[in-house]
Amino acid sequence: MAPAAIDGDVEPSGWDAFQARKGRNLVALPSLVATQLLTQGFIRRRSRARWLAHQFVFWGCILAALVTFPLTLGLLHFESVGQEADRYQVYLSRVGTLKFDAGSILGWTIFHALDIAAVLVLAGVFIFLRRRLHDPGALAVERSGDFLALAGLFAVSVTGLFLTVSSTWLGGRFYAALNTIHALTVILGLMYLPFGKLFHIFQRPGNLGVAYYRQQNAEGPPAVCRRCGDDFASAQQIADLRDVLPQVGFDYTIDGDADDDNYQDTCPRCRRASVTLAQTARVGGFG
Amino acid sequence: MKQARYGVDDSPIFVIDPSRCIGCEACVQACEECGTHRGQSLIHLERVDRSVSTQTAPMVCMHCEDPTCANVCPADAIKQTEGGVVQSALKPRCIGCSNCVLACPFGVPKYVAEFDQMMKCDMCTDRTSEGYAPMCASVCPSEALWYGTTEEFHHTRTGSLLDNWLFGRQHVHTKVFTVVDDLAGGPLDALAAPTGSWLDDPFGLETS
Amino acid sequence: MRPGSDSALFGAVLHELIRHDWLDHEFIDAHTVDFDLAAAAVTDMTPAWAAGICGVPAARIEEAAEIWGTAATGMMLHARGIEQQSKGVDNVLAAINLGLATGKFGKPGCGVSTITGQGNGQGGREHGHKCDQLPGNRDITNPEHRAHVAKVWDCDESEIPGKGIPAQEIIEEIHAGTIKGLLSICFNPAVSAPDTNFTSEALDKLEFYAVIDFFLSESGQHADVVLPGSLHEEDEGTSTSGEGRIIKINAAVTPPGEARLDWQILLDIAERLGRGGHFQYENTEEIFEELRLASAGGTADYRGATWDRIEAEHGLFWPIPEVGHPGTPRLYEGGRFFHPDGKARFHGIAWRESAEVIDDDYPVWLTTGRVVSQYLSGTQTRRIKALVDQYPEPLCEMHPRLAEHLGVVDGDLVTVTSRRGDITLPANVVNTIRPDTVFIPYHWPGGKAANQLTNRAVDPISKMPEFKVAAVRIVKAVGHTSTTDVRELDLTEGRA
Repeated sequence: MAPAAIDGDVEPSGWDAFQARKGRNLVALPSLVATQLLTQGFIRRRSRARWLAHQFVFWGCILAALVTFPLTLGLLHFESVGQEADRYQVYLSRVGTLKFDAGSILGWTIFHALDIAAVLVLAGVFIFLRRRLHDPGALAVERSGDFLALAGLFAVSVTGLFLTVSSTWLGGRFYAALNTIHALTVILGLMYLPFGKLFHIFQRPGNLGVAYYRQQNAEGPPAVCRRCGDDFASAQQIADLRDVLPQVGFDYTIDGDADDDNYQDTCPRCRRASVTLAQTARVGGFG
Repeated sequence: MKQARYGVDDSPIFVIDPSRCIGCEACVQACEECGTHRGQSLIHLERVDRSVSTQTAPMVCMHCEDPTCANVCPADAIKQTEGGVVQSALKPRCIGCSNCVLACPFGVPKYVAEFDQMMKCDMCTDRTSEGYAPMCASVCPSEALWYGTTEEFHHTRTGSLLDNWLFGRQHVHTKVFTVVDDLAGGPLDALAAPTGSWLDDPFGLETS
Repeated sequence: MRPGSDSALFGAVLHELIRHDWLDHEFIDAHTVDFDLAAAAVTDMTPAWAAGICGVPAARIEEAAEIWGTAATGMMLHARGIEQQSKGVDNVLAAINLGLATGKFGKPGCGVSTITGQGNGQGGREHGHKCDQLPGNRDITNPEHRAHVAKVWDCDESEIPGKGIPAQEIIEEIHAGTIKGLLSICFNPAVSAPDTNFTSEALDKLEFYAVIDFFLSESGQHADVVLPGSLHEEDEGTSTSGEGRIIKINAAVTPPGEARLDWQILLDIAERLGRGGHFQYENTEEIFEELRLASAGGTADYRGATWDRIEAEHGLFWPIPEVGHPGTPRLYEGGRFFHPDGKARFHGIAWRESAEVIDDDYPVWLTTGRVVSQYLSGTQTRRIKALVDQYPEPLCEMHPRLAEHLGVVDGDLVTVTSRRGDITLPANVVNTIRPDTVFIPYHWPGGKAANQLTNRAVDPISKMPEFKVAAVRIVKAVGHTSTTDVRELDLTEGRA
């Protein structure tokens, strides 16, 4: 039983590995972003309803962020064109771009972009909520933060829509109060990001790193199972795991002849077989 | 059926005795019907080595008290319930790196490429949290997978319950029990040399 | 052990029990007769003699005898392996001898018993499913038994027919042209009867063949009329387990499309035959109520087993001779047997060979049987993807020594030929089978049917065909396939 092949081909660190493949990694980036971050096919394959809901919320939030942040940071504003009361021009930073009629479909769409975003998010939230309330399986693995995230999205969207309600139908009544409430929900929502379920917005892109790590490792040598002798993973990842396990308090080294003999060099299938054989021996054998 | 939550109320226990497995795969089918991961069977059942034995190896998550899988997860996606049940990776967090798949000493988590996710046995949280047996244990005809109280076990079965394992130098304590004849042998050492059996030469070909 | 040698093993074990006096003399004297006959038959059956026949070391036979003979309790369970032989009754009687000699009957943790091969195989054979019987394990030739059942059925005793012929003989008679019409229910002899080529010829000779089945079986393809029947998931009734426990089965779904409940089809046939008056049932419980009365007083007495009690008590054990009776979880308690004198019978079992033995032309033993993922002739299980994935096609299990001799490695196609037919299938090289024997499971039809090879020879008493023993020759064929479980190839296990 030979220990896994750990030789010079294994990169000392993931970052070095990434640097070494910078060119190829850049080329691969657009398609990875498209599939992993934007179209999210991995969710669709799990459940269409879940995917639809996630896409609604995702694009709603993206749209809202694309409007809100430039607007509040002054990167985006609108000016009326000359003396024409109904014509506006979009200014990105200080550069005037598109001109449009306020009364046109385009104009309506631009001025209601945030409402559209809110409706998208709400649609997603309701699909999610429906699933959560109707699927006993989902309910069983429910975590307290799951509802909080949905409640937050709901609050931001609804308070935002109330602003439109106030300006369109109520002649601006309650606008100031509603505006404060809306701002508050947005700020609270943004502050909540690092702590709850929505943290995955920052974390999930780590998946791109995993894709790079995989591509890199696939070109390197495989790990060889100490029990069956078959390849079972990349030597790089097994080496990394052997590195990291002692740091988190585990010692899977094996007391024996070879210095670096390690249980982690066993393939998962052989781990299951070893457990079964060892247990069977402790009850007087199989059969 | 008692309304007791696994690991919290200390009433029912989950026991796996691989030596009793007859390889019928009822558990594999039942697992697929679990509400928390419908359509995906997460139990493992394999032939150890069909060329020399008919023995099969069933494996559910043993629910380690200090789970290796959760410790090596870079995304902190693997959580334990209040009762110590180690759950599947949180779907939004899991980045599909497979560290847990490769590090678990029992070989339990599965990387499901289709979903780019790790999925694993969560002891049918929807059922055990209500006091029902996990799907696999509810169908196992030979009680290789068994769910009940310790008293019921000792009343109907022989052997001692063990929740203490050794993988190389690493001790692992689990919420799921296995069965051994005698606790005096200490923790179950996954690398212990197999003992000789008459089944190594069932027809006396080597001795006659 | 090599196929067909079971009675030699049991004989040698009895020989050892007697030699070491591992006998329960008290039990033998008080509760049995004819021990002398059994003892005389095994005088020369030494372990060394049996070792030559069985192909296992004599020391192991001695060890087995000691384990059985010195154990305070013990159960011997057998299934089709010792029964589906031209000497199946010999084998079973020899096994019973071992239980009687050591007094392992009617006590906790004791017994010699068969595990039936089909769902409700036990319940069916207790109530006339076998055509020489009447309900309650009654004998169709016994005038008293006939009179009792005629009364329950409200017919004249003379209207009850005499002894019918067993399944295998029916096929022989059809082939011989003496039986011209057949109605079969859930019966797929094209796969499950021995010598499938002969069986198919027979089915084609029928002038009229009607089939009731839940799926169109291979036999159904020979039929003139096929009536879509139902599965047990679609109907209500009872099933009796191998331990004699009557169990209630409830319908989970209704039969789809034109499919009907089997018993309703039978009522309609009775009506058309002008005997509908004897088949007036509104539901299955009414049929069971009649069965309770018909079985009353027989050895398998269901009289006290009402559906309410069966459900409430999670099954009831027969005999349960009156309403309120607790049932009989353990038979023969106190050493009381069902023979008129209350005593069990030993039988003197002389050694004889199976109908077919190996020779220079057909030098390898063949035994057939089942795999865990398929059920009987596969009419149900060959349609379920998860089960097909487990074991998609028959494999020929052979020992590495035989494989080496044939120049075959695991997965190579081999052609197995007997005097009846041949089959080409992948070899599965495993050392869990004897080097002189191959095993092929029987669940598949046509060119994949193991029963193309098996022998139609039957046991003279039970008329059970010899599925378990045949002589074959094996040659390597062209082609190779993987015997690896395809599902294991799917496991990604963290591979990129």
